[in-house]
Amino acid sequence: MLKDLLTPAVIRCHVHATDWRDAVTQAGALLEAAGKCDHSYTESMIASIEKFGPYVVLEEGVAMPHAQSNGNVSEEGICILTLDEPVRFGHDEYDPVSVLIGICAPNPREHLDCLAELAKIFDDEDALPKLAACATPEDVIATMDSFFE
Amino acid sequence: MHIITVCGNGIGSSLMLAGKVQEICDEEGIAADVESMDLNGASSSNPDLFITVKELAPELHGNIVIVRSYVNKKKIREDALEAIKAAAAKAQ
Repeated sequence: MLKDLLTPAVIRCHVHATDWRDAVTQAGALLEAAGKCDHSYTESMIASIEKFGPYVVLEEGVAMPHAQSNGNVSEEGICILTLDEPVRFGHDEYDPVSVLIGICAPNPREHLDCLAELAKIFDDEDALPKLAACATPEDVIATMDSFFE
Repeated sequence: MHIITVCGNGIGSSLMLAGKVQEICDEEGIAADVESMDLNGASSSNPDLFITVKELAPELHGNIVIVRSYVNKKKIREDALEAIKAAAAKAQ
């Protein structure tokens, strides 16, 4: 469940990133520190964007970096990083990005439950501004909870 | 009818899109088997309809509809519903 995965340790608010690579690296570092994956997974999230383009930018201002796991993800994880200044990923329509939702899973199918829940927040047009405005991880958790009430 | 949603990795964005497309088909009473795939798997598949974003569409061959969003159901409905209906009619 999304709720069980989203703890204050995997959320950072209003951090500074120099560019999209730095932002994805910082999001990956949260997953690494939580013991969800190793650094090679973070590198593959960046490589995936380099290879396939900025399609991880899902909606205005929101990116969901992720990659195929390669024995480098130990368990399903999610992190949320919000930026003090948005960064550009090179997306035609939805740049710049101020909220990153990083995900990882050892088995692709294990993404499903968590992602189905996560997908709900995008039906709410206020989701991004609300998340971007959160000052603390606790605020982010409360905001995410509010989408599922 | 068989629909495949496609993203680069087949694990994140295309799964979310598959969920939204399934919801739309259910709401419209269209019987559809919606599956998500990565670009490699999709390029050797032959579904009734591919649904993807414009960055990846040139890599696919077959009946393709382009959506502006993997996650915004309103946009997905606007972009893909006509193509889904047409593919469903053809598949019958």
